[in-house]
Amino acid sequence: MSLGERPPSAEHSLTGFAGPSSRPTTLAELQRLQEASLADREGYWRSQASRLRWSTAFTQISDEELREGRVRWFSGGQLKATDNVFGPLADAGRLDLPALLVSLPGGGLTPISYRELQSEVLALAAALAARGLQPGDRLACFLPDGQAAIALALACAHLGLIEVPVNIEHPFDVAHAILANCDASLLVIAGEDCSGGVGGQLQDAFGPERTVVVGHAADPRSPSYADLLAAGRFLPPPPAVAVDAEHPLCLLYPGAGTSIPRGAVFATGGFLVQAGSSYDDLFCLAGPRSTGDALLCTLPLASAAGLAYGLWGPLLHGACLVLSPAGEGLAATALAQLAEACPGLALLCSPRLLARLRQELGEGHLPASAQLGLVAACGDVLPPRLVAFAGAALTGLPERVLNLWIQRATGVALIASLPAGELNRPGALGLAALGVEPRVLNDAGEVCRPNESGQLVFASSWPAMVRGLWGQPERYWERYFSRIPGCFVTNDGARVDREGFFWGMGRLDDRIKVAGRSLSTSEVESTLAGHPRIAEAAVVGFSGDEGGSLVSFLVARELAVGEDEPPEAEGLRLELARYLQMRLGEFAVPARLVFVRELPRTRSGKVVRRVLRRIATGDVSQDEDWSAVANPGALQDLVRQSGR
Amino acid sequence: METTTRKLVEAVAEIGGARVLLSTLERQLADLGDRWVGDLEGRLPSLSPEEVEEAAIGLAGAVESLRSVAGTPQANRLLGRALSLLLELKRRSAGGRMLLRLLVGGTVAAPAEAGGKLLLVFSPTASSTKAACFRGLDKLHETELHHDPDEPDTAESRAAALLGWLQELGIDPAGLAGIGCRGGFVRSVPAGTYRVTPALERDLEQAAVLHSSNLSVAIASELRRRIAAPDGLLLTTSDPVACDELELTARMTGLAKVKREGTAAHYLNHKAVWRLLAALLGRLPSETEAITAHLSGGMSVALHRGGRVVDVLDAFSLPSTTRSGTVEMAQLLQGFARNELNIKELDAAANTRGGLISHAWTNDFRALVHFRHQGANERQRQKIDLILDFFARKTASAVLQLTADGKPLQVVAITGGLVHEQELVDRIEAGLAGRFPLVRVPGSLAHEALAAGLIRGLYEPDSLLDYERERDLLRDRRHAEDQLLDTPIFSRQVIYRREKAPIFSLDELIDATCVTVQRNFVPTIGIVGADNEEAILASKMANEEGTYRLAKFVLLGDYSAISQIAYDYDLVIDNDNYTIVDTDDPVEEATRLHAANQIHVLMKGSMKTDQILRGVFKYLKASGRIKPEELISHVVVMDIPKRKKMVMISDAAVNTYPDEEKRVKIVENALKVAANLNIKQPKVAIISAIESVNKSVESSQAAERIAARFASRTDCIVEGPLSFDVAMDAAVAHEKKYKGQIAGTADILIMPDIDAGNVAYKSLTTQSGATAGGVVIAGDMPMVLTSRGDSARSKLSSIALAASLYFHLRQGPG
Repeated sequence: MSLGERPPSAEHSLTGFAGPSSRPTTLAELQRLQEASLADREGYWRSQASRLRWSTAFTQISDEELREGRVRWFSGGQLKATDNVFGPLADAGRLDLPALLVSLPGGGLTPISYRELQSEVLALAAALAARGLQPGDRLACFLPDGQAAIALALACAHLGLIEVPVNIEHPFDVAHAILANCDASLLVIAGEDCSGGVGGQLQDAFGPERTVVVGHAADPRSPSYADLLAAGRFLPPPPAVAVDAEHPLCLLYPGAGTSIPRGAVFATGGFLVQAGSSYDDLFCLAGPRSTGDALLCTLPLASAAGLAYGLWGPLLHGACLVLSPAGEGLAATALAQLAEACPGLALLCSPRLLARLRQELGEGHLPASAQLGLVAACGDVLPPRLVAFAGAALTGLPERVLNLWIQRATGVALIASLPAGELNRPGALGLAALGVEPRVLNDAGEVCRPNESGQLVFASSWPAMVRGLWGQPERYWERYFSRIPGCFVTNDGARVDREGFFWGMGRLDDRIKVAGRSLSTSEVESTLAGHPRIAEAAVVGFSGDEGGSLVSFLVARELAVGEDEPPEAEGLRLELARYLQMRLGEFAVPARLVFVRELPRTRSGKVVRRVLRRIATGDVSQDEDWSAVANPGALQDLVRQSGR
Repeated sequence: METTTRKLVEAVAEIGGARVLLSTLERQLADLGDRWVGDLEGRLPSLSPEEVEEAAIGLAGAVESLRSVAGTPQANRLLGRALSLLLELKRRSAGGRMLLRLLVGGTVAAPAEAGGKLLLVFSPTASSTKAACFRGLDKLHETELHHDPDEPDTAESRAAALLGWLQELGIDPAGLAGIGCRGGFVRSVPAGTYRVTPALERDLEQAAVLHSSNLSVAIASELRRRIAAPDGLLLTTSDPVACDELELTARMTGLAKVKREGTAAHYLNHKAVWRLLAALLGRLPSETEAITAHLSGGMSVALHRGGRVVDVLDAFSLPSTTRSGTVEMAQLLQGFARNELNIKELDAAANTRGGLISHAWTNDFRALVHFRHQGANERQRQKIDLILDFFARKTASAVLQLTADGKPLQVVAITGGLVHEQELVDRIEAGLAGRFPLVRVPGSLAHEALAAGLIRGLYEPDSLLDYERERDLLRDRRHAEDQLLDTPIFSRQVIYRREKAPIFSLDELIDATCVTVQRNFVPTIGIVGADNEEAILASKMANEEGTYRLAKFVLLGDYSAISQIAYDYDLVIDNDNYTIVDTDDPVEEATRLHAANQIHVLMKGSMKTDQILRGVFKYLKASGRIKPEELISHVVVMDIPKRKKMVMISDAAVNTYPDEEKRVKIVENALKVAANLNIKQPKVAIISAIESVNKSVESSQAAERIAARFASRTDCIVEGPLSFDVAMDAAVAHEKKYKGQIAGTADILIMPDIDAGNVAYKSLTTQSGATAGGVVIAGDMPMVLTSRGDSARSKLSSIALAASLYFHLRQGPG
């Protein structure tokens, strides 16, 4: 039933995910599979879950009530994450396969085998256990992506610790707030200053004794990673801890921020099941230019895509992770070198990297011997011209350029183009993954007709989905499920064409830098809408001379708004500012809170944000043609107000 | 067969016999009744209170019996007369309390009477505030407080006057339990009594229609503030002018886009009279089917069914003392066309300078009738009679018009100050010819109605309506109704015109383009830089749900930016009507697609005009699509409401200060557009400030030279110099004794430079209601430019013009 069409493997199978296979190449075939996977959704996910090794078999596939924000997968099941990586290879006698391909500082590449990786993971795990870390404790990694980060992630999973990868680009206060929020027991930082001194500051703030330094440790109180490894190698390797399927595997924190960071919690069982099957579906191609054995991921491990496709997915398949210290700054020549070394290399990156490579290569292309097996992009819109470029210059095959639609909260890509001519349309987000139910709804909550744009939501859960926000259970529901009852909200605009391709129509919120922090307007919006006196809220952001600002348009209950504001508006404004300050932080309080009678909407009910943004910046005039707006009266009120 | 005929004849004869008998009986009844009622009417002034009560009881019994025989004119007349008298008796019974007792209803009347709460009600008029003070159900005082015309008229001043009045009466305002005021033009709501809320206050402050009663709630709030009343003081407003309870059929007019509302009637009095009629007839108000005609400064007639005013002829439909009411459309249009009428005058006629005042220069019927009897000459008397006949006819026909829903009707009442005018009322009664019992309720029951609403609110708080809730419910219901009313039945009819018939308006142009497109194919317009709201909106309109289908669109530019705008404005990207082409260089890509014949017309989006023109010119030159002697220029086609045909202006956008050579080419391009509009021999005026050559006016000399270059042409008439008025207005041309052929009849105006062109274009669009469609002609390729200031109609016209021009330039007119 998977895209791989492999015969369903027996429970506790040894082969797990290994081995490429044939896959659908026509829309009709794919639609059949999609229908079958939804007709028997539990059966589909049972067969996917059975590709993992479970210490204790699960008794229930899924248990969900999206209206309440309750999601559980594979209840009753227990598993050992590292056993699923190393076990099948050990059983097949293939531990000498390369697990990592590491670029050496002086140039050249060196492979690290699964056996070597396993020994490093076990030594680390022994040392961490010796420091008294218990299953469920959080270990924060403020590290550049590389061998140590990967080994740490595996060691954490081995012991049932919860790994917290923190993006190395975060400023000190954000990173520090994350450490505080997750209440980390141990912090790992890099000795070489690759974070503009933030690592050192964190070390001081967090406590040098509780900080491990990869590389040279300046502070003698902090143990180095090498010390830790060396000590661990003398200890008996600790057994892998079997954890419940819902046991948190890791926490992912957004860079965006509110002063109270929100760590997305991912469950071990569901995440590994779906990361493995999704990697298989998207990256493992059989045939003369087979792919899936080697992957270069330039996205940070502190992202969902990085975790799913730059770490767990490939490792569950016994594939080789090609590590490049350049990350998203990778140059075309370096890419060519890596591709030459690994035939069929797949590249997972952001569209930004492709745009840069396009600039760099111009009309040129990678040499024939260095063509990539596959290019997949995610994190932003992949415009058709970049697909055309990557197809011509990087893979030589246009259908081998994929778009993955993934958000932090989705864990894995739920919509993606597939590497077959009929299943890949440049510019599209792609087709729905098997076993998930994306929908495009209008603002009345009705399913849009083909090509009508609306908001992208999911009508049911999926295994890898975010399970909570660390320490803030009530915000989980508010954030993802409160807006449309029974649906998971993505804040993306989309349309579906008649063949089932999803097309991105943009974000429904603005991301804006306010006081040095990236902030999403939808977050402010949903918080404001949670206030009992607010019926509706729309927040728009714009950048001005003094950085970004937010303006919020609010429909308040029992507040009569007319030409002038009623006197009680000022009090409510202060109250809302306090409310936002407490829940999101001072900088999330919009520069202006404008009370309106109703929000301007299009005929299909969308709030016309574009015009609100113009109103916020004063770029409107009274006599514009508002024929596209269903309630022009609401708009004219606003324009009048803004004119004063 | 024969027996059937015989039976028929017998039956008719029998009915005839019965009728004779019936009418004899009716006449007897009428005689008897009239005598009895007449006698009672005569004795009315001298009746003691006890006799009044007694007479009322007797008359109520008579009404009860008369109701059962009502239907024929005589019985109807008698019933109407009896009801009028009964009402008068009720007014006088129970120390004047009876009316209010009837209005508040049985359950509330007793406690209210016993409670004896002190109430103030008032209703502001343009120059005064009418007020009354009640205790329990007793009206203590009533007054009209005129405000000093030299003092500012504000809520504060009127509140102060009311307080002053109370003080004079020795009434302590702190003792007030409630204040009821007449509501003005709030947002539309159903009738009823509303608690005054901030929302209501706000909506009144920015009322859509100016009306003296709009001030009421502000006055009430000011009173509450000044009295510093405890929270217990109840503020209400009843049956505001802006009530709307219309049924759907009543909302329709002869023009689909104009939908009626029930607002602008004296609901307060209509509703009060209707309630009284119900009480007199011993029925529930909701079961009393009646028509009430309110005759005073503003006239309105309301049809009450099922407790709602389901249809109304409002103060703007019926002539009154100062309002014209509806006026014949054809004459209005003619008046506009001949410059005899303009918007300002029409507005004055509808509000302050129409109706009686326009016929007689008085707004006082009483004065008119008085003058008829004393002072008027014969012709004036005749005219006054005509005026009275006219107003009576209008009122009676309004009543009859409302009965056309075919449902039964129990009673008609006329009310308001003009009911005192016997000569008018008798005429109305004659017009109705006894079709319904007609009850006369002289004066207004506004104060009683306001007090009744307030009293019900005090004793039955549940009877008070929530303004915001009712307003929003009504808005939602109206919205749903509008959707039904706007449901398309057939697709928009393209008015088919004879091929090559000259096109005189932009509407005709749009239709003609639809026909051309149907005959050929749907052309594709490439939007250069489609990450632009204006262009997206224009393209959406050009294809709105297939209503027009003038063109398909290729949206060139940044993929995600375009997608986002498409999302925001509900543009359906279906890869047929709308396709996104993702590109870094929209101009380059547009010309490439044009060369490949995948797009046929260009349209400016976010790219700068000169950027596009540069790229396009390079491409056209390289591909030989523009000849060396050709120029890129802009032509705008103006549809001016007061002009029979359109006029083209060039160049108001592209060529800034063209020399003589260029202006000759500008003429050639404009002639192409004229040919596309099927104008046989276009008249081209080369515009200057003056119509004769003058050495000190450079443009007049240039105009003469340009015109000379076209002297031998037979396909067009080119003259210059012409001033704008000579070119556009035949009367001016005649007056100035202009000798040329273009005397006010120009088809094309060639402007000296972009300044003159732009000023002419913008003056016409902003000041005369003209709509413009513009196009850039670049060789054989038309281009559309639209800007944010363009109206929806203008954008659509531009697209239609470019699309039709595409076929014209490529294939000859199709």
